[in-house]
Amino acid sequence: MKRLLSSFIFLPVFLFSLSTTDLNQEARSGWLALTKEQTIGQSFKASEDNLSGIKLFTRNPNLANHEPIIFHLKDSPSASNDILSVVFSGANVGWDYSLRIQFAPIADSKGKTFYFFLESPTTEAGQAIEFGYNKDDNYKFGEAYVATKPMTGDLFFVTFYKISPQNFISSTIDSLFQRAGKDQKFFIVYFVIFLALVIGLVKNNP
Amino acid sequence: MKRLVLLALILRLLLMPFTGHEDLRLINFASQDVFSSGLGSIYNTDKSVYPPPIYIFEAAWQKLMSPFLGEHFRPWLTLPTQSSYQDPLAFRYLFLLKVPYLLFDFGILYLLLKLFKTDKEKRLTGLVWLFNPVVIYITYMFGQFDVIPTFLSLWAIYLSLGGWLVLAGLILGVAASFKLFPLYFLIPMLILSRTSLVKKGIAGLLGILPVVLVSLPVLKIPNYVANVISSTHTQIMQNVSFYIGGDERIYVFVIAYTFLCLWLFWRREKIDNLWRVASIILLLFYSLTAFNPQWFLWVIPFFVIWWVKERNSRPLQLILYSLYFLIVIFFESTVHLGLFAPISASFAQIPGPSEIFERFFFQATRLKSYLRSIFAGFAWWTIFQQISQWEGNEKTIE
Repeated sequence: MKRLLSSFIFLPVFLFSLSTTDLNQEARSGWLALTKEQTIGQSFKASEDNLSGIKLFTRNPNLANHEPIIFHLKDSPSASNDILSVVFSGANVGWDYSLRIQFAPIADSKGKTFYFFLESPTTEAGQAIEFGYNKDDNYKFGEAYVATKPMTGDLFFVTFYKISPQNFISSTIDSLFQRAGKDQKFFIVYFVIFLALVIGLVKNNP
Repeated sequence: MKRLVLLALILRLLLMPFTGHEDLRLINFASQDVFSSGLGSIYNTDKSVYPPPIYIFEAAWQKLMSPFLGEHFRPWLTLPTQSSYQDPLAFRYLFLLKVPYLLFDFGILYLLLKLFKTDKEKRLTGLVWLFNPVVIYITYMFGQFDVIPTFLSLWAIYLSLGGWLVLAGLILGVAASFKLFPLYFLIPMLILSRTSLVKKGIAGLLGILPVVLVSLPVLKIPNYVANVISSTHTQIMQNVSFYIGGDERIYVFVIAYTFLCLWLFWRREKIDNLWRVASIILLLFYSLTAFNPQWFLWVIPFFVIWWVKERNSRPLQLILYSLYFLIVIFFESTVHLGLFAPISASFAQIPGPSEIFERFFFQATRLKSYLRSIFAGFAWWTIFQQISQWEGNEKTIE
């Protein structure tokens, strides 16, 4: 009972440990296989401060992979040192699955270029984990890498940035108005209808 | 009533452009080439899980709205889900694609109001329907089209109450060509109607004919057979069953449905009770299936009638509504928090209650199963209440 209560008490905490999301590249036209011979990577530019996670689209066919996988984050493909690394098991990857890798926020990430790659030194070809990839070069601030070589197109990847509830609300409203401003014709008609209904409501007030 | 309607419209208007679910885009994606390439184009994707009428309906609406949708609409339908919501025209599209639902929503209100005489009853009906959280959530936030077959089913029941059985059968058939559930009402409708066998036969035939006719042109398409006729959703009522030997099973829903029909036939019940029978069938269905959130809309018009007619039913209904929403929040986040993704992509990424629960306890599906079991218990109690309340002293709906 205590645990049940605590889970509901912590609910708002989880809800307010918020991230803002940059969708970067969501389309998929194929898969890239991660094996012991072949690392998979992507370069990108952070759009906000406090970079705190990356989501990839993965599949582990027949759930065959149980090998260690290492996620590395670096400044660039040529950088010799990692900013951070995360180790997890292929057993944690589902068949058709979004895989979110979380790490401590990188405070001054906004505008900086990063490069992440995954390696799995013990994964054989028959048990490769595959990563969603799009051959169309939709994402302009980076590119996918296979076995450390750049290629046309990008991985499916979404980035997360830690944000305070106040900033979440203000950035959401800003983005909403910004996007609404790009379709003024619709919003003018929308507000006219809205206003007409409100006036009708006030006039019908007994 | 005018104020209620205006307030309800404002509420709907506020939600329509800013909330959405992938299903609405999928249906419109599959509909886009219906007029140019024929019905077969609907099932080029394995994501098309309904018979053709809803796709034809959406295609016609797209055609009508084409000056407002513009040329960007087609590419928008092919964008990945979250990216599509961040498109500057997403608000316009979400709004326009939900507009036709208003017609059916207010059509249901009109029919419900016709069932009651006094101003007090009408006002309460308006209040309970127009501000029903299930109606608003399913139709204007989720963007599901269940309001269409629900309206047609209620219309058919309304016609049958007035003695228009043949027309009622036809309308019920049209409703069933959108989603199959209205067919459950056909046999009880025929049993309860006091009319000639010939008329009953014609009504029965007309009730099935639209479903058959809309299926014929697409019957040979493998995706139609796999994703509509043989889909797990179509056969979901088979899931609760007993093994009886060999390769055979008996299905609990089918037993209960057959028993109910025989009981209605034996009692020679009045057609006035058809709305109660419809709600009993749907509650049976919900209690024996892992029903999707949008399916709960089907029973709401009958709950509204019950709410207005019998004050005692209200606490029980409130419990059912609460259990329903508890079950819903343990679905994947795309059907609750994720519906707000058009406002900010971050809403689709916030961990939902099921993820939080799983961090502390066990698989959320187990909790959901407990919740569904409690819901089923209350649903059966509701069925018992429904049956006990019509014994002998049923008021006639004019």
